[in-house]
Amino acid sequence: MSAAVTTARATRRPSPLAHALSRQLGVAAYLAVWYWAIALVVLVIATLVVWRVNGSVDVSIVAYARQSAIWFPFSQAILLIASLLRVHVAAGMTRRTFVRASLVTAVSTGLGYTLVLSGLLLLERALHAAVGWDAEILEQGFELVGSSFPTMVGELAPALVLANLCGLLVGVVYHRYGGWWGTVTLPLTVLPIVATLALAGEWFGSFPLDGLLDPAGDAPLLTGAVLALVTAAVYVALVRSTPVRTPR
Amino acid sequence: MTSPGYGVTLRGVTQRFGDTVALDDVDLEIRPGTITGLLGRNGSGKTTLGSLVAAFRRPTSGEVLVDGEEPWENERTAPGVCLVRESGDVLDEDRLRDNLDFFAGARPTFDRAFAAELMELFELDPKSKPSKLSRGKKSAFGITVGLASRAPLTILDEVHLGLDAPSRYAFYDTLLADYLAHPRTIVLSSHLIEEIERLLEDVVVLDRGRVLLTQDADSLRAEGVSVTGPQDAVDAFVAGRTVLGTQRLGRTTQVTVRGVLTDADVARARATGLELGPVPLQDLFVHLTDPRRRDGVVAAKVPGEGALP
Repeated sequence: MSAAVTTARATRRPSPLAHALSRQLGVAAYLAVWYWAIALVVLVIATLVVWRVNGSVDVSIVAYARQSAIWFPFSQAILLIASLLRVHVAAGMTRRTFVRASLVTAVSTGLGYTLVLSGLLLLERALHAAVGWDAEILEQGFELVGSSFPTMVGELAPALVLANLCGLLVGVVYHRYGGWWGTVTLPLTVLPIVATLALAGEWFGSFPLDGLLDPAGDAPLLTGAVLALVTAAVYVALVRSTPVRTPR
Repeated sequence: MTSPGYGVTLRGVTQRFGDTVALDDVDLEIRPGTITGLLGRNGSGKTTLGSLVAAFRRPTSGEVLVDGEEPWENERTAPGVCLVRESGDVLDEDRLRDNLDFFAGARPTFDRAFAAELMELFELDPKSKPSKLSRGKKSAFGITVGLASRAPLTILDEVHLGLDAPSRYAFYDTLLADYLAHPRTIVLSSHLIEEIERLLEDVVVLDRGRVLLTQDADSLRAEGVSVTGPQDAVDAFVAGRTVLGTQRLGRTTQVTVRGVLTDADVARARATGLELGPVPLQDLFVHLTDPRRRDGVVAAKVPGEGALP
């Protein structure tokens, strides 16, 4: 064993996982603060505009934020791979560490956005009820049956967590196989999030599948969990064996 | 007994990219605790070799060992291997000081104070971002990260690109001083052989994905001799020796030969009016990797083109 390594062991420092996690969670938290700050301003302005035009706001404005709360972290996860995987390995850390940190970050981000979105939806319902307005969700395919915080979280979490995992998967396929294959395989790599959204809503209304899965029941949560595990497993397998590409 | 750095062993390593063979059945040893020059023409496989050693990729076949272990996903060796590429593997949109924090947290041997010294030496603003730097400044920052990491195995791959001459010489001086103060294994890949020659203890020459030679720099330098004089006398003297190159101007011929001359050889050369001289490493490299020589077009004792310097 080399003298340099012996010296290294004597130096206190965070574990590679803690270091990678602190970097990835730090960036995710920074972006989340900006995202929700902007979202709040937009939601308040939109509510005021609808109120001025219609005299009342009988729809849920916050519900419209769901799509952006899905696809913004999705793109963020793609960028995480593009900007950090190469640097992470070059800094002397393993892909194993990167995988662990990125999965924790993805799931935490998805759950964090779910908690904030659920909280805002409940707050909006309470405010609307206080002034005598309804809070109907007009987005086609978006059904929110639960009225309590836990049930709302259970309904929203699968899509929001899977969005992050799918973003990682899309990112690593682009990193490993290049732009052409990354684009060609998009229907596969984005399939888990699309499937979750579809199964939880009314996308299959005209298909025999309708009725098999009850949006109010546990089915979306279970299918979401299974899809999340499969997506994460494929992601892990791809990252652990990927070469570090040279940027062009 | 501990060694002051990681050694590297490659056994039968082949790396293919589709139909292209970047490394072809390479066997190689890099001694721990040395500065080794990794020399080769463009496309000879230097960067690929560095990528394999740093576990950026796995070889198509063969075995790579760093400090006696396979480096791929190796939690022990990974923090001790630092490959700095010309492309710069840094956080492009983060400030330089934040980049240093990131690398310092990942590298157990990283010296933050030394990094600050290097930043000052290369006149790098800690508040600037890599994406906004010129090519030379990007190279300087790569060097800063590479040297301050003080990794037991540091591979510097063409890191001088874009650097002006004063910065390059500052880099060479700093590298040598830090290496003497903190011995470790350093692999230096560069086309500027004349400039780095004085730093090198060992030399590895790659050519078309194969190891052309691996030797300590001093003995390699001693093996290169230029013989200058009348054509007939030169031809007679070099007969039976390994001729690397021949240049002719009028009746005067200069031949570069590889091989150690005995005292008797030297005496015979002087007696016949021949001048003997050293051959810079760069000239040896040029002759050794000359594609005409490699392909057998330039055979020993066949006059080459070109005028005498």
